[in-house]
Amino acid sequence: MAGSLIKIDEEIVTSAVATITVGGANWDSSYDVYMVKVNNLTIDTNGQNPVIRFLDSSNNPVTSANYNWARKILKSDASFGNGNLQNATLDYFVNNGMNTTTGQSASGILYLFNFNNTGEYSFYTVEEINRHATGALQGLQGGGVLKLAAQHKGVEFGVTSGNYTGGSVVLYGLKK
Amino acid sequence: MAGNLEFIKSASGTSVSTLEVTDCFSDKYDVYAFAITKVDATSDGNIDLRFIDSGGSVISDAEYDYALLSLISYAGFGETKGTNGTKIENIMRVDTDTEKNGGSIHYIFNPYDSSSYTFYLGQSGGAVASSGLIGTKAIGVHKSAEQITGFQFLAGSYDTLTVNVYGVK
Repeated sequence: MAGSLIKIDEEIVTSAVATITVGGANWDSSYDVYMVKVNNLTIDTNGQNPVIRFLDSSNNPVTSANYNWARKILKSDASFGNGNLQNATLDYFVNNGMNTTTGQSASGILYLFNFNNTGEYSFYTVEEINRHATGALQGLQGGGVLKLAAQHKGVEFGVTSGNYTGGSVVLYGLKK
Repeated sequence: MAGNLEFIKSASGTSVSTLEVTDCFSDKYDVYAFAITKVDATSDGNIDLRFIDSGGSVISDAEYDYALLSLISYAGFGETKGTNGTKIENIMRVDTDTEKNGGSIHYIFNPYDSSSYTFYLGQSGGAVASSGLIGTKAIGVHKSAEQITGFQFLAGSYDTLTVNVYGVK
């Protein structure tokens, strides 16, 4: 039986890179919903955050102040927090800065909605887990929107400063 | 076209207090999903999670950190958390009344990679107590870099417990 989770694009970090992009030239516009699997991202600069932006129809990351997002921040060693921002230029895939020691990686799952609908905003959900700079477990559960009624063709993972040194990002389409 | 969510195995138990799902992780996938599709409990409580090492032993060392948000329909939301625990607690609430138990979906990251910690994400809906619904959003980590080949559910008493495991290729 054919499955319904279809791999579209994959990027595996094999050397230091400032950004990881899935979609873009490899974007397949035949799906209503997409899933992004993020696994074991590591960075080379202490205290920095992996961030996300979406790609416009020309495959460039959208940097305008049109991201609204909200999340619950789960912590193993402290009270949980809330995070939210309106009219941001990006979203944080990791809430607090990571560091470079062994085991300090970030993983998670995103779902993307309406990315091919030029008449509606692009929405997403995100769930993420990492060990932050203190070594404690932390993660977030939330969602957001890019308030542009336009097609968007993928995700760019950046870092607030520095590079990614490992990990992978895979883009899937959810077939009807 | 073949899909990239691939069924690996199903495991179930009847009249059990634990359920081991063995040899479900391999080098074929880096991320796994498992769904608890059926649970009937003989006592109200929570399903907890432990991992199984490459020797087939359940890991009960104090190597787990976890955090869980309970989304409750009849009261304020709850927080459960811990560091250096011997298990990841409360991945799903269960109830003795059959009709009150729901389902859940969970992800495991890098279990088979002996150089990486094993991370966990999960969410559940169910355990409708006398007053209403309790759902969960949870995270966890087994903070020892070792190869994990399976997992165990514990801390309950179940008439029926069924889980399906998938690889996300």
